[in-house]
Amino acid sequence: MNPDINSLLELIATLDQEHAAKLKKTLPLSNPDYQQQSARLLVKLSNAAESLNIPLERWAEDYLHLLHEMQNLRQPFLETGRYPNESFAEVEAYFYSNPELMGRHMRALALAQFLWIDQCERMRFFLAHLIENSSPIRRYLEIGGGHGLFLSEAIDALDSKVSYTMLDISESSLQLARAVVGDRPRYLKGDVFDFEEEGWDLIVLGEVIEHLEDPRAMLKQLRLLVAPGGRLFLTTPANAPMPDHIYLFRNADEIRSLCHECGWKILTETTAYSDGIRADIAERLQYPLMFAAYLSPL
Amino acid sequence: MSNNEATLAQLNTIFRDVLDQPELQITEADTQKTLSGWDSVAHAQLVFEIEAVFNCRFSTAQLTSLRTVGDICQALESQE
Repeated sequence: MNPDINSLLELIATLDQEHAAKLKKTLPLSNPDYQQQSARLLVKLSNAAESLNIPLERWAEDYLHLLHEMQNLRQPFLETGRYPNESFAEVEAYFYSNPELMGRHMRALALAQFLWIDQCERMRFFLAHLIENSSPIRRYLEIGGGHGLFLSEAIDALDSKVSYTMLDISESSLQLARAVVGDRPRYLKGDVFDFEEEGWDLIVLGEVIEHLEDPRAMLKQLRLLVAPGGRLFLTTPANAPMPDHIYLFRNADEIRSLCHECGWKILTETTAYSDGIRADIAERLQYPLMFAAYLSPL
Repeated sequence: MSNNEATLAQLNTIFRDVLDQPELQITEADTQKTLSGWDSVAHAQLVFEIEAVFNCRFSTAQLTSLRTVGDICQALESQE
């Protein structure tokens, strides 16, 4: 039997009662849309857990480990105004190329996809505007697809004739995505700056540019790869210290300006603060902000 | 009752309401680690309520240093 959101929260409560209580307080557990979305994603992760032979208990432990890491990074971030790492090469050496660390991190983020309000909003927004921004679509490219949940949801939502490619620098991410999504997409391990295939109708770039020293280069590169009339789905956080975040956006305006500077026009966007905290207080407390948008070339 | 004790008493009422712990008795030494339920969500609510009750507005520098009840008392004193 597939676990539902309540059984996952019970599982988390056995490991960290206080955090489980917070989740029960902040998540919209009685909202039918949330129930459906979380149930759908949880089924996908449960199947992946089975095929990878990594029980959901381990995923929950990985999730809580990430939370503790984030809590430890927050005060130094507030005091220094900087993320812990600023070099992509260093993060790649100790993080992306470490299968154990990356596996844990990706499993944690997969659960966060429906345990964090801002991440729920990211997925909701992606699906709510996917059809209008991908019609007609034949070629879908996801860069840094991580746990694969966005790719999987896109496959469920779009026309069966669409071809899908996921490009990621991490073998661990590709392995997890394969387990979540299945064999339908083409999976490529590599760097987008060495990737020369053009003509993509929709490029999905979720939570990637904050991992780069120079997000401008990435956004300009994607201008070369997108098809005429194509779209970019971009998400990135502001004020979100994590072990592998490098580029610090202070607010949504900095993200908007960068997009414009790199030749992209925002068609529609959403923002959400972590834990659903009201914007005026969250902004002053420098709580993490999630920004998501569909864009077209200027 | 000294000013400090009065401030602490008012803060105690706010903490009890926000953390939903009617019997709670805070001290200046309390931190997010010693007070159950003082997480990021509660912290945002606490800041909102404290600013409303004390009719003040913490600066960005003060907000980044509110780690203990004592820090809050100190920040409130500097508002006076």
